[in-house]
Amino acid sequence: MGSGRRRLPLSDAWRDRLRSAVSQLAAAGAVVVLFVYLSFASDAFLSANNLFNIGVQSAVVAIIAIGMTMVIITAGIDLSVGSVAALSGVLGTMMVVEHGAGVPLAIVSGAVIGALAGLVNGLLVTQGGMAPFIATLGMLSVARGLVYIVTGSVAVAGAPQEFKLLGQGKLGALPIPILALFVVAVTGHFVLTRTKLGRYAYAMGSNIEAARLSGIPVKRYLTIVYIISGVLAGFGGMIAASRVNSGQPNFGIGLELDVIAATVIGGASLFGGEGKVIGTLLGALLIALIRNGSVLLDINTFYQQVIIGVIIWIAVLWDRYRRRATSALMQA
Amino acid sequence: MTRWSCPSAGVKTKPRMHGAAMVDSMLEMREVSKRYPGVLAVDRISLTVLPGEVHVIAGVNGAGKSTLMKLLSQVERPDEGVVRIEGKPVEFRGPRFAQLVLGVSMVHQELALAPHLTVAENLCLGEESTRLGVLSRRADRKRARALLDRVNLAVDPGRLVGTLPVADRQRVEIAKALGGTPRVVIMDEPTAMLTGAEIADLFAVIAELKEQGIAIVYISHRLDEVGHLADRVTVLRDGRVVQTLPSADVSSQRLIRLMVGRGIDSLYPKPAVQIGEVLLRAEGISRRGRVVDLVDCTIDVRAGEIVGFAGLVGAGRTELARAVFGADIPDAGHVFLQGHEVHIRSPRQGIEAGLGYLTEDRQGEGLALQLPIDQNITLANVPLRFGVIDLPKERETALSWRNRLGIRTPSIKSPVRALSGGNQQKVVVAKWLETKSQVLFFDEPARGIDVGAKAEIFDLIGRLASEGRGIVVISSYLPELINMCDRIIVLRAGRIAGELAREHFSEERVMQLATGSAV
Repeated sequence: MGSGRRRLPLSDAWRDRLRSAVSQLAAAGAVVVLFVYLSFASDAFLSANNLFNIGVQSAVVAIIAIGMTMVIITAGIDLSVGSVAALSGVLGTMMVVEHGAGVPLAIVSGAVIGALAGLVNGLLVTQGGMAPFIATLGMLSVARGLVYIVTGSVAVAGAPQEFKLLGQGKLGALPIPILALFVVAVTGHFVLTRTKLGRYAYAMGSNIEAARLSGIPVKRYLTIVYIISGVLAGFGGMIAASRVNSGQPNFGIGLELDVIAATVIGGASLFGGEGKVIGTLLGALLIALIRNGSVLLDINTFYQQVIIGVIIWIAVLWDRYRRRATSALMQA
Repeated sequence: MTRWSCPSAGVKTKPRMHGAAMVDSMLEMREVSKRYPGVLAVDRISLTVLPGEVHVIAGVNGAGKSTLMKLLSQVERPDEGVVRIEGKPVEFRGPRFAQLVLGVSMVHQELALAPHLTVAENLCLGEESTRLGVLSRRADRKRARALLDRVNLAVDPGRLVGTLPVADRQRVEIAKALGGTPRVVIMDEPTAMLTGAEIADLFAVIAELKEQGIAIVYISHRLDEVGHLADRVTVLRDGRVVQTLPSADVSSQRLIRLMVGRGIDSLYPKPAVQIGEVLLRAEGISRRGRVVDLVDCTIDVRAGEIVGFAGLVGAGRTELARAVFGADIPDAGHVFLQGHEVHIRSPRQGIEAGLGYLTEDRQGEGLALQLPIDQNITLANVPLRFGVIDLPKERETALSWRNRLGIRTPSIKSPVRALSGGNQQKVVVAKWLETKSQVLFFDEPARGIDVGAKAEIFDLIGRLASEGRGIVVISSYLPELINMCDRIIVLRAGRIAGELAREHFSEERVMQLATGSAV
């Protein structure tokens, strides 16, 4: 393969690595271009305040998208993340407001609620034999319904000042949501690249039957992946609740679209077996830049939605083109 | 109102006349080239196929056969060169044009039928008969019936394709290729999925198409078919034509030399091995299955022994291997390894007991194609250090298997899908050896890999046996079993029909047991 091509002075192993990171490089390129453009187009853009703002805005989407990346790597999908985030946010806030629980306990409860939702998703997929799309679509509706039942569709307000810490606090100059994202991303990357769970996620997404015949307990590992997605959705929901210091029943409607977009823009394949945390981070950043830039340049917010949709198309078309080019090479 | 009738199905095609003169070539390619990024897949190929001729295209994987076929069936556009049908240069307008107007159609190796549609719907797909804009099922059935007659298939056109056996599905595929006015039918390894009797039937159909003056372009890895079937053979290597020669002149040895570019001593290098104690004993395995029920199957495999599973498709060979290994859970039966009973309820437990199973469908069930070679090799046994994947160890493991098995790849980080069939098979073997499997089941190990790689795989199987492992080889191709095995177990309809020791091997004997016919 590639014999007639101009070659970079790199080892074959490095060339393979580069090839597998092409999607991420493309996303990074888009981020850089947009970043440079916005710094010229708007005076406000390059201020520390605005940049942190972008970081904080993208943190919730990015944290949840890291869970989604794992799910998509297994060739699954989790449509329920927006509703689950809302359920965790609302119940976590209620723990503090109505039951006087401490803030750390509330955060843990939010994550546990997410884990339970993820467990149900995982069991429906692995034990119930449901397609992930259907199982999590059901959860999208169930979790949202529960949110409205427990809140009566009224925001849970009246949380104490400490509750704001997670979403609005800073450690030194660094906003806590960005710090949380950093920790989740590093952990996520480590899990995907250096643990059995990550390795099996790729293997299951690439070929579930090969994975099973290689002795991998696929049902157990798939379930764990959905639980992780639920936990991160719950955690993201808590950050979001903390940012507005209340549990909002309408939070996260349509959030799954941004999350899936970030993941796909970052190079994850909906057919499974491919995806990277760094790509997802770039995808989330790109979406946040578009939203931020639209505000700064005073572009009608409705256009943001259109632009993001178009970018998803471009990302997927680019991915298809890249795949076609390689597979033509393979079959020659 | 019918548009294109899917059509003229009932009309027998005669050897085609052009004006008054007989056309001497049905299909002619002149200096045709196709370049993919970085690869010249087809390099100035010239080829002539005569009416009523079976023209075999031979070559190892990567020689350019598939690309050539894609150019002919207009799936891909040639970069240079001319293609003539009946002497007239043809335009390039895509596969539909190729089939309906030019009469060039392809019978795919991976059957390209829609399993949820009926036979008639598949045959008339895209060419449905309509009456006042409404689909006319009756007209479609009638046309389908006519096409099916041409391939001697007496199946009801109303049946769902997914419920037909593989051999019948293939026949439907051939019938589909005969829609329009067929001039050239391209067949890509049509016998790969068939057993002995089915192959004979297929050859009869091909003979009939020949009679009708249709030219057959036939790709095959099985060299003996060349002699049986072909009028002429064209050997490709590295995208070029090495030689076109009448099949009567070719011995298998010579063909191999032309294909590989070097001589191969023996296709089936079987070392002499001292056979030891019983490693694996499976007793009274029974399992209700979708295709076939296994009934009370008992087998032994000894150290150093190569045991063959023979039988017709659907006799339960794969099912038995899967039930013993734990891929499917048997309803009854006991499995013993080195005399100790083991309870296997999952592949994981099978692996822990020391079994390995190389699936028939490497790409579908054996490999994670997007993942790199090293990760595939360690998949069943990921090296860990403090709970974290030990990347240096993984790399070392993969490198050592690459060297030991001769996996040809620039880097162990390349995705497995970039490898040839033979090298993919070696990756699967490496995975199982890495789990320290004592007994390995090879399900159709040579399917879809070329002759050079085949010899290597069989050499490897021989070496694994000589290292004291027990080997089971499942194959539909009897010469493989007869040459490689110490013992052949023949299955019929889910039961063990008999066992033959090496000194009693013959194709006739195996077939008698497999079909249950009297001696």
